Parts: sequence; C-alpha cells; structure tokens
Amino acid sequence: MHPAVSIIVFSTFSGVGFGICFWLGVLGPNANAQTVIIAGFFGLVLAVIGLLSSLFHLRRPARAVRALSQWRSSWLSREGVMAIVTLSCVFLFLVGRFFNLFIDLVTILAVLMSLLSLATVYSTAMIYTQLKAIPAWHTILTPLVYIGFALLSGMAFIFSFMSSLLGDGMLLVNLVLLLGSWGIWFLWVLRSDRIGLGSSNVETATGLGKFGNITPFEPPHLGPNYLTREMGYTLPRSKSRLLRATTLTIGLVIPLLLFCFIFFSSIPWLVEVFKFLYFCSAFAGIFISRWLFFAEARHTTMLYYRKE
Amino acid sequence: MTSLPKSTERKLGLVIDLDVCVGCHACVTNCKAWNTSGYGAPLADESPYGNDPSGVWLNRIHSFETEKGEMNALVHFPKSCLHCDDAPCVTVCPTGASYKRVSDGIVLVDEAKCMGCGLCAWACPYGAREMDPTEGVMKKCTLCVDRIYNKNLPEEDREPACVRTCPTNARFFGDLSDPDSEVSKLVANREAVDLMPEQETNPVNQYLLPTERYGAEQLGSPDFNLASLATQKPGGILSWIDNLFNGN
Repeated sequence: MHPAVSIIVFSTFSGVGFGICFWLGVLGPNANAQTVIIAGFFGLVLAVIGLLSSLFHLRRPARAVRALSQWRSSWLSREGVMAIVTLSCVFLFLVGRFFNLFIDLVTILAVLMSLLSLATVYSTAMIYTQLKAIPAWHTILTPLVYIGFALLSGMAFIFSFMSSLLGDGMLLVNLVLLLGSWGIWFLWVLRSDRIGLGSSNVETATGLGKFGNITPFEPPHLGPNYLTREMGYTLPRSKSRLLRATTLTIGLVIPLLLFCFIFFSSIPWLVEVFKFLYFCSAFAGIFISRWLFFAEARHTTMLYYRKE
Repeated sequence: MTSLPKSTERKLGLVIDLDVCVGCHACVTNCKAWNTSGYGAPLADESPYGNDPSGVWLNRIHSFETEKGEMNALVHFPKSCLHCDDAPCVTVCPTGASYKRVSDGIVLVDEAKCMGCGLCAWACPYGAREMDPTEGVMKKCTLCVDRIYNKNLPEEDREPACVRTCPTNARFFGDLSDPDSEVSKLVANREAVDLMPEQETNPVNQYLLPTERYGAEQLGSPDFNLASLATQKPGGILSWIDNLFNGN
C-alpha cells in the first residue's frame, strides 16, 4: 500500500497523544497539578496534530464532519467520534485539575479518560484491521501493536519530559513497555511474512484455477492507474530488511542503551539529554515501523495486475 | 446508513462469459463514454494523451494465460464492480456516501456525501473503485442506473452500456435472484464462479468459465493436424482457380 505521510503522522501522533492521556488518567488524579496540566496539554496538542493530519488524506476535507455520522457500521467513523469524546474528557479533566474543581468527578474523569484513550487507539487500528483485502492487517495483532506503541510512546514522553510524575517503579514499567510492544511488533511482522495474500491467489481471483497455472498476461493498459498507485507500492526485499533492522535499532536497541546510561549516569544535565533522546529515538522507531506497516502491506487487487 | 441491507428485493447484476469475450475493449470504451456524461461527476482523465496516459475507468479488461500440460490459452477478463451482497466497501464508509440499494441490490456512491478518504477502495478486494482526481470523490460502476430505468431510452437500450455494446454477446444483464431470468439460467446451465469466494463478499456478478471446447486435449492430440488441411488437393472450380494462379 502507498505509505501516505498524512496517515502515518495521523496514527503515530494521535497514538502518542492518547498514550499520554492514558497515563495521565492512571497517574494524574493526585499528582502535581501544574505538571499534569502541562503533560495533558501536550497530549491534547499531539492528538490534535494527528487528527488534523488525517484531514490531509481527504480529497474533500470540507466534508470531514460527515465522517462522524456512520458510527454504527464504520470504524473510521467510530474513530472520529471516540477521538472527540476522549479529547473532551481530557479537557474537562485538565480544567478540573487547573481550577481544583469537582474533585470527586476528576477521579472518575481520570478513569474514563484512560479507558477512552485506549478505545480510540483501538478504533484507529480497527480502520486497518477490518480490511480483509489486506491479509497482513487483518489480525488481532494489529490493534495490539497500535495500543502497545501508543502506551510506549505516551510513557516515553512523560518519562522524558515530566518524570516527576513517575515513581521509582516506572523505570520497570518503561522497560516492560519497550520490550512488550516491540515483541508484539515482531510477532506481527512474522505473521505478515507468513500470511502473504492469505488464501487469495490469481486462481481464486479469476476463478480459472481448474485450467492449471494462471499468469497475468496483459494489464488493461500500459500506464499506472489509481489502483496500482494506491495498492501496488512495493518495497524491495533488501530494502525491507534494512528498514526493519533500522526500526528495531532506533526503536528498541538505542532506547535500551539510553536506559542504561540514565540508570548509571550521575551528571543531572546528561541524564536530561539522555531522557530527551530516549523519547525521540523510541518515537522515530515507531514512526518508521508505521511507514513499513503501509509500505509492506499487499492488497489482493494486485493479483489482477501482476504476478504476486 | 452504511450498514448493509439484510436482503435485497432483486439482485441486478452481470454475467460475463469468458468463453466468448475476445478482449476488444468495446465495453470499456462505451462504459467510459456513457458514464463520463451520465450519473454523477464526469470520469476524469488526468492525462488522456502523451507518454503516460491516466484516467478513471469503471470497467477494465485484463488478460490471463492458462497453462495446463503443453498448451497455453489466453483468457480475456473484463472486470468491474461485482455489486456484492456483503460489500465490504459499503460498511467501511464513514460518511454514508456508500450504500447498497434494497430495491435492486446496486451498490452506489452518493457523490454529494463522499469526502474522498479512499477507504472503500482499500476495502474492495477486486479493485472496483477508483478515485476521481478532479472531483475528489469515489467513482464506481453504477450498473448504468441511469439507463436501466430510463423511460426516455428505447427499451432495447435499457441495459448497462457495456452489455448493450458487446459485439460478441459475452455480457448479460438481469436479475440473479429470479431463477427464471436469462442470467440465472446461464448460471445454472454453465459453470459459473464467484471471484475470490474466500473474501466472503458474496458477489452478485457471475463469471462463466471457458468451456473445454478448444482445450489442450484436442489441440494437442495427433489427430488434430493443421498441416494435413493445407496439403489437401482442391477439386472442381477451386482446382481450376488454383491451376490458373500456379500456372500448371
């Protein structure tokens, strides 16, 4: 599939934004109000950047508000509705903490905010998971990868910039998230390599299986079209391997090394630099992995156009 | 609502005979001609001329080579929207632009509601939907909904443009839910297939497989010898003409 920057920014930025909101719901009801509000502000801004970026993928963005109407059937619609509900909830929570209002309600809002953030990231993932025509995406592992990366990047952001919110145990939580989310990603990649186009092949696509081996002979036209541009994106195997290795290095190995530095370093400003690099590296890794999510995905339509 | 109807009153669709199609692209051309001036926005051509032509088409003809034993055969393969009973393109639509009609089962796009996100094109396993580059809305086969009910047209023209124009009668249009319709009889009498049944879309359109008439068995058999036809001696008037030209 064509890796559109607008969609990659959408899912990674809204991921980290809602990830931050999730953790604020867990940590925030009793923590220092000022820090919580700054973190919450960043959560909101990052999520909104992501959501606005998705508008750039629309050919008619002025009609985007219609996308909230079909929540009964469409995951894309559900994602939009959930995002707005979640952002409203986060906003109310922050207002509550800022003015020290409705203290009891703030605790409830915090729980709600965490649950809604997870549900929104789940809906984002389901937009892709629901597509049976792209077998690599059509698995429960896809929402797990999305949720894992949202929790990881959200936690990394708080750890890097607002670590006063975190107790000592949070070092362990970071480590678990780092290993856990990349572990799920690794399983996803293994499955996607194995599944290919699933049970679809050129024989089922044409129904001509009983005539033996079928090969595409002539495409309908010599040039590309919307379908081949959108669904015919191919990444050479060598490039794919290199990018996967890069993703793991930047997203997992470097953050792990930085973790050791942070743990053993005694120079305070150096620790801050390492923490900053920790978030940047983890997020960059997630960003490249999301690019790969699209670039490596294969669509059944291409069975009609070329030997798959 | 972009939920699918539980059932439709009729199932209008196409039956395409792969035995007969010669890949002439007449249906493709007539589809483009009709639909660029018919229902909805015109079908845009970003680049109609030159080295890299590109545009929106609702019907395209692929071709496939079959390989069995020593003999190969070429199958021309027209492909357009299959108007699936369980159309995945409809349920993914967030705006309510995509819908399947209860009255006849046709899958349509309300172009006034479409925001051009392209998710329906991703959801379709067959590649039946294409984004219009100038209008920014999704285009697809309408089964010529503006022809088949059009009282201003003579009755024989009230069928999809592709069916009307096919010079070899490879395309048939009708109600596949009615067992007495011509299309249902074709499906019953010939070997008809769903495309990608594993995708569980339950397509309405059916493809009739090539018969084994010209199959590898006959062409490959020693009795079937084209050279023997060429060496036959002509008789009668043909012999006279033959002699005239050959001068003996």
